[in-house]
Amino acid sequence: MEEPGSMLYQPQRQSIWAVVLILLKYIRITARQLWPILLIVLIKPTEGRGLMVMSVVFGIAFLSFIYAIVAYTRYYYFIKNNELCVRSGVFRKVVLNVPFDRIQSVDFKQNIVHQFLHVVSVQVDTAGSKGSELEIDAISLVHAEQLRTIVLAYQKTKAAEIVPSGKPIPPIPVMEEVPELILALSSKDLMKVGISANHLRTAALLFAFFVSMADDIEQLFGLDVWGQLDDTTLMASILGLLVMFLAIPVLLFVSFFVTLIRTVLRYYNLKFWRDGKSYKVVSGFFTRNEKSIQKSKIQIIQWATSPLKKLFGIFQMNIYQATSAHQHKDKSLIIPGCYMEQVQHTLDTIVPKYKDAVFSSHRMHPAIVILMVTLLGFLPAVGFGWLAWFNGGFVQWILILIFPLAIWMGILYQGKRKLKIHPDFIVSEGGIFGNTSKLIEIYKIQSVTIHSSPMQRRRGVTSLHIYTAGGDISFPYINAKVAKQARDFILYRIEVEKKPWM
Amino acid sequence: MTPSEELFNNPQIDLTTLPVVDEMEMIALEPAYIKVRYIMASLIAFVLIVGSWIFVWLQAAYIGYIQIPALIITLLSLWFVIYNGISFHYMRYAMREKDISYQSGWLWKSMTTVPFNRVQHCDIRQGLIDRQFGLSKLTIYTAGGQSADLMIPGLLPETSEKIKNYILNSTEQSIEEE
Repeated sequence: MEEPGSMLYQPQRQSIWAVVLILLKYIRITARQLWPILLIVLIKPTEGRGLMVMSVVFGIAFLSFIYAIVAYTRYYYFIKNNELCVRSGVFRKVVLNVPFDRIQSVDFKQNIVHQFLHVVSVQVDTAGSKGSELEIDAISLVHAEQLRTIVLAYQKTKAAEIVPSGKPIPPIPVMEEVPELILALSSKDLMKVGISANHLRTAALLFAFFVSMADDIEQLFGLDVWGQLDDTTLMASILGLLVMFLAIPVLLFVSFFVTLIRTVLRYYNLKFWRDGKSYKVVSGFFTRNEKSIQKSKIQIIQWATSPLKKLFGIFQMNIYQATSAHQHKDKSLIIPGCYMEQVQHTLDTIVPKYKDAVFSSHRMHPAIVILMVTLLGFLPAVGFGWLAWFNGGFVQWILILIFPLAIWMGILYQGKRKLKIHPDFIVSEGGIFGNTSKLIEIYKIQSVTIHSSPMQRRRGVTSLHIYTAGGDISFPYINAKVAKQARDFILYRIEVEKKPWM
Repeated sequence: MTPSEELFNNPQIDLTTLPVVDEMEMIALEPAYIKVRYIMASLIAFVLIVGSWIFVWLQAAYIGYIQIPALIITLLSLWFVIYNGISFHYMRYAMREKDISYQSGWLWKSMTTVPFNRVQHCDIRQGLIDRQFGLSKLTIYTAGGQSADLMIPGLLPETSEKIKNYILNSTEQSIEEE
């Protein structure tokens, strides 16, 4: 009988459906580049230009189709000498070899087209340099599973140091461990997650979108949006205020539903598994996303609540793994809607010693309130002041509210921001309205920086920055002596530690 | 809670016996590097100043008081050149048995330390201006991303090479010990 996955050692084409997916990918990229033009063409079709636009659109579509077919026929993937190899390229030949040692994770992704065609896209993330990520657009689930099994089996034997390096190892069947389901998000909890999502961010995005569209709207409909706000007479100012009091609830209402729907679609039927030495999250309504992280690659564990989440008693847990920079967010496991017991349980399995750890706690200097008022009060005030200078109307009313709000937020922040240290762990606590905790195992730290500004030195404080392969944590305005001791201790721990950080 | 002055409230380890980074003797960079800094900073300042005044010249008729931001940019650029020159005297590095540190900054000080057993790789670069003065720049990469890397400019190429070899040797040793 053939060994499972043995055919992967021969150059393989993707599933034939890859043509469809490559085509869709190009159309999506093109549409994203050209959408303002398309919008204008659709809204204001000028007579006689219709034919030209149509032929250009069909031309691009036809060329994309040819390109997709060629890209498909020139794309091969296979395994050779414990490396995953990809040969591709339409105009120039691209050969990519990724040694199994370098592979951080093998993730599957299925959007609605993938689901319909019964294929998956495979994303292979590698350590180190940027852009060394490898993506296979569409292969059958069986091949994808075999591929992952081979990679994981190699890494397991490598970790056990049984096989001398250099020799290709035959794929070995993975020991069947019973996966433990830590969390399955019920529809009730999914609603809680959706309701307590960050609506203000959506509101800000919508607002920014409106502002950026204002000029385009003027071009499209001849409506001068800024002109409407420009009138600074008393009547217009009162009108502006009224509009604001009406617009803000409408904006919040719309944002609420937009975030709710987005969150529900994204985390639909979320399941969080522990499978031996790895953690896995599967979720999504249209796009079924599967992400996994090996335990040894975990760098930072974060759990956070917001005022609304606190009301429901839920936390969002993020598990960050070692990746090349700029991908920390992409490659982390996000588990919303955890209750404290699930957070505790996960921590127990990843860092068993954390439960009984006794921490020494350090607060930030009260002067951090001044910094926060500068950031949250003064800088926005300059921005709004500038806007008010030109547009007047309702903007100046916002100015009055900024400083009391900034001072309040600064005081809340100072009260919550803490450095907690134990010989094995560092915990960063913080938050303004909510609470966020980040946990790092000290031996996983990569480097340490201490910054100080003239203002900080006068108060005897510094900023301590701690870098890991999964993200950074910083402590601004910490006692200078404590920061230096912490640095010396961290360095001492890293330098005597023999355990590999990954 | 009173803000404590000690890292651990219940020390399990005697912190006073730990090696202290601050007690190292720091080595200054090559004196020629100050010229490289002045040239680089002046080039950037020149582009900013000329650019902003060209903008003023083009837009003065349409935007009122546009000279004020341009004046601010000019002053900041000059300050940038002076700060770059002064801060040269604060750029120092030091190596211990198991780590390397680099400090910089006159008003805004910073000091980064990278343990050798966390080094991914090193590279030595020579820019166009560096080459004129026979200098090089050593960058030490960790897995912690760009801000966690350590960059020491203004070294003689031989010194860079020596430090690089020393680091890579220590990194190898620490891997073998594991």
